[in-house]
Amino acid sequence: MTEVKHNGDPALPRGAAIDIAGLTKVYRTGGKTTVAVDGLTLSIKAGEFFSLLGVNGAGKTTTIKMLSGLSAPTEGDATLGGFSVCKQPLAVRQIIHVSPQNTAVALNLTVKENLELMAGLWGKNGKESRAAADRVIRQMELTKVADDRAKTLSGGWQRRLSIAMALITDPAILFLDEPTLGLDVLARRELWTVISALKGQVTVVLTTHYLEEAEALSDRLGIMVGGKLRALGTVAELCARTGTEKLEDAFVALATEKGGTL
Amino acid sequence: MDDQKNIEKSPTVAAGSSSNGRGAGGRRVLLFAGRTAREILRDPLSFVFCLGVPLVMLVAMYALFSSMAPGGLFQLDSLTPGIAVFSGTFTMLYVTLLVSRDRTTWFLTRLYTSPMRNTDFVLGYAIPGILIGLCQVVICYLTAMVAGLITGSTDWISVRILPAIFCLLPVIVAYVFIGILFGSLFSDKAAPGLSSIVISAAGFLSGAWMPMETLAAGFRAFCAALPFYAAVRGGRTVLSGAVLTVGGFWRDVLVCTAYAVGMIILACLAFRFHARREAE
Repeated sequence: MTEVKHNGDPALPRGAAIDIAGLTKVYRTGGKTTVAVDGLTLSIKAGEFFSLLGVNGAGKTTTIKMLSGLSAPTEGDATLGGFSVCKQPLAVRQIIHVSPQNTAVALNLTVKENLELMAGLWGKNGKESRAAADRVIRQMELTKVADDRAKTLSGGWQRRLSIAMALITDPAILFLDEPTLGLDVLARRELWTVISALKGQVTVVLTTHYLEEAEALSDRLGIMVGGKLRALGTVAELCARTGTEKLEDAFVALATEKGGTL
Repeated sequence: MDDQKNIEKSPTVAAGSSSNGRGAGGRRVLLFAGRTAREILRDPLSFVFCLGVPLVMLVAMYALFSSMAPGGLFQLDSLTPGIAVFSGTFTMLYVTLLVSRDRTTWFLTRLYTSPMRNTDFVLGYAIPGILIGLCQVVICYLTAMVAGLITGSTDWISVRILPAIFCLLPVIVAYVFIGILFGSLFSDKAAPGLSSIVISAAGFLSGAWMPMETLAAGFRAFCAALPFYAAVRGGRTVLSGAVLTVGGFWRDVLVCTAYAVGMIILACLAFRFHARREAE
């Protein structure tokens, strides 16, 4: 077992590892069978920043749902921090946080109240929750809006709050599902700075349609096509494999490759 | 396996382990309930609809119509239970709006990956809703008591106010769980529309300001089988000081309780259905 959850020892890598073995999700509706994720096998190291790319319907969100214990795999299994999503889904939920596509904040609560709520729901007592909220507010530079209600924040600030709500639960693994969707370029760049500061602090699995975002932030990338992992590697490796210079060209080449395999 | 030990000893997992206990579950419910209450009460319009509209209706109807129909529908002992039952539907509307908005904004999606269980969510929505609904009823009765004292027209409220409030509890519970039911099943566009149907039904079929005796027997029986009229009639029976008979008052309470239990079951099933659908 290679995964290690940080325990304050700076010598240890932070975050937790993810080992996925033959993860498969099949939907059967009205006699129709759809394979959303097909035999996904993949390892993500503790503290790694990993991006999962793919066109709509490629299976990214289904993969995250299975890894977060929301949806049971049809076949296969995955361990997160050593806990099986099939056999120990509640233990998995204790060490992860999913920051969904939408901002997913409590709109009539202030920034600080949102953070304290999350900390409390994940098991911290009142004093710990307040201390954690203060820490995350400083870490995410939310001080000037700490007492503002979430509904009064701009899209960029709400996204920042959304990520802060994930971090306050001290996850070993953080799933960011299209965190900059719908933001203007400046807000997106600001959020990149925030997200890139997480590198090495926590294992991050990012899904995004913005390839420049994945390129700027990721240690490694996986490209899913039709529920299967088509390619895996660093940006340089994927470009070298396709003979392209930019990730976008590499992505297009890999996503449209006929019968391509990993 | 050493790594596994590190994980099990980590603060996050340790806290999480304890948070699976009953005490932690209760704490999660209270936290979520506090959030529900703040979400509803921080919307200024909730005060307008949940308190302003019913109280204005109570005072205006009493002031305008009570002298025109002495001893009738618009005397405080008839009007107050009707307005109280009607006012509870606005709490239902706000619960509906909150649950459906939590789904639309993916707030629930985020929390589905938390240690919270479905019952924690449902209780976290229901408890503040029921308390807000009860506050509405109490404020309606207090307003009526003040109006009655000023006009010298009533002597009942100070004596019978508690049982009168108690007999409306089942219908308040039913409203709140209807809100959770609608919010779980329908979008934030459709759910308020459905709630408005219940609000209209509570206004027209409860006999709050319409003499049910003038209606056809069949339609009256239909209304009596619904919780609105049963609740209003139960409240009026208490305030009148009449004997609380099994075939009268307690049957009305039973009708409302049956609806409350039915709505609790349906709302829990609907919420569970939504959670599963969301997962898939």
